[in-house]
Amino acid sequence: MAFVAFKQVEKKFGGNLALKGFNLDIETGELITLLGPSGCGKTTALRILAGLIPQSGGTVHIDGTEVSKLPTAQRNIGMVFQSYSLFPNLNARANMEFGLRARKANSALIKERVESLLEITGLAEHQSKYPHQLSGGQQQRVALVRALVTQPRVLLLDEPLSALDAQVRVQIREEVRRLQRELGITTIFVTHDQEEAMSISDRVGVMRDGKLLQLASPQHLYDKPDHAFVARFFGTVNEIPTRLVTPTSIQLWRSEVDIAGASGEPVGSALALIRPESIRIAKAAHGEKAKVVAISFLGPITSVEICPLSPAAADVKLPESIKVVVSSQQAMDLRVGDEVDFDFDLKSALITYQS
Amino acid sequence: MKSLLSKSLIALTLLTGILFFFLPIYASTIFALESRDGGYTLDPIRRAFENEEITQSLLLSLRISGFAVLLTLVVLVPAVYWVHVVTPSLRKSLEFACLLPLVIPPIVQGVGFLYSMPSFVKSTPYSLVFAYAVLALPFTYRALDAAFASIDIKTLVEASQTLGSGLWRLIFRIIIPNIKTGLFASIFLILALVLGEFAYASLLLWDTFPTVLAVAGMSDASVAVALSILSLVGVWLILNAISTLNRSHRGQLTMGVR
Repeated sequence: MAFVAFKQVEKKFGGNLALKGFNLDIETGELITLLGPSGCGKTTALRILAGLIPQSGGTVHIDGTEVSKLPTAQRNIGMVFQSYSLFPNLNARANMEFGLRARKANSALIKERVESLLEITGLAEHQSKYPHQLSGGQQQRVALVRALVTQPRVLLLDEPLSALDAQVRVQIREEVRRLQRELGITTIFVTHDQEEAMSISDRVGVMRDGKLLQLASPQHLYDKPDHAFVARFFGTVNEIPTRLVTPTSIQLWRSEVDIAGASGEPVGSALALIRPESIRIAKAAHGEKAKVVAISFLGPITSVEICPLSPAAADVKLPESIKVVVSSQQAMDLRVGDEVDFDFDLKSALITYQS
Repeated sequence: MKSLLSKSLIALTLLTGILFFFLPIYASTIFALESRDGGYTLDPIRRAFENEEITQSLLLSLRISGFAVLLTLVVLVPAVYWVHVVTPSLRKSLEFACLLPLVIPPIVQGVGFLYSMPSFVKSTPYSLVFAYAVLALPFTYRALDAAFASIDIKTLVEASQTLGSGLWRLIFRIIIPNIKTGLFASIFLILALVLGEFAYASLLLWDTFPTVLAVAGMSDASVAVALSILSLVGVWLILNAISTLNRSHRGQLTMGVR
């Protein structure tokens, strides 16, 4: 059995089902991210595993033992919260020692554990400061150390970076990943930020409406999303109205493309979901005609929006616009209003049938 | 010209205010401490503390306030905690209930109290403990509510649970230290209230410090006035202590991000 397991977990808030038949298996030492829009149930799942709220049905297991009915204090977990949760009356060091003191550990052990983590994290110079004397980033790092000092079986991170500014976020998420790898601690990270999820996770579970839609490595989720929702939520995607040629292929202008995944009932028209980097554009080449409608410079790459002059197949709507990524070098020749040619560099496209 | 006018207006207002507040106190002090030969003496205060009735009533009032503090801590602190952590939807209702003693006249409260209390409670002066705990609710509730609102108590409780802490450690290491200001404010406010409350005690015929003081004033005015001034100074010191405490803990108790 997996190290951490959710089995058919349900959670009702009043009449609302926040989690529906939620199943998740996490292996030892893995960092899993639960990703989804607010209200998708990701934090609920985390809080159920922590024992902070009871589940309405199903069971949760840690290291082969069912913990569903165990109080939080006895689950041996570490948790970092979204809001600043350091105890304001204790300084950074006393905050870090809190968990071990609660377990009545002897002072030699407390000293050894706290000091080894202070060394790894470089927080030693801040140890005698009170929470209000620390920056937001420092507070969350102290909170992380506080959660790790007890050597918990599972580390739970409930959007710990969302209150921080962009630069500190990147810095701390890398530190989280480094510490997690060094200590080999099984970790569940909850976020609504897809970039965060992509950058630090072994596997990402995309959630919607209390259900886990797909659980896979970030690369797999990006390249082979099972659901249109996953494709849209995880990275940018172009939605091109088109038509089926055969039950397993669609028409994209002059080419015919095999269908990789499809949801819904097969009918005549469909929606092709294509990543920006799967489309190439060039001036005066052989391809479909389009007009450049917007150009935004993003450093090494440039995002170009084009508007095709004809729809992808007969009798379907013209796509509103198609986003393409080009090197900024290539973008230097492009102006809004230019006519360009585009074609596809894809083995398959994700199709969602229009109902 | 204009600024000179407004400056002198401000000065005049201040002066009037100072006179309004301090003239009676000054006059009372002179009245209480002036001896027959024209000098000043602390004799009335000495006489007051030699008067058994007065010292007994003072001790009674202190004991009553002690129990009122205890009752408030045991009942109100958990209630305010509960509406902050478990059922925030009830916070408005609790606030409304706690403010009621402000709008219901003491005479109505007193009579209602007389009719609602079982006789074994009514028969001791300690029945006033319940009355004073209720009468102090508008102030004690506000102080405690503000203390709980100034920290993210729910997250702190959850953090402490995930760290393996039990209930006692949570209460004594986390909750109490972080609402300390509110607790001290409540305690001092109850003390100040009990040492000054007259209507209830007089209505229920108990000899508390304020009622005995009123009676003593009829026979020995200078003793009564001297004690009034002492209690005024005492209450003033207490209120000062609260605001000093608030100031020195404000930095530590706000969860700021710098």
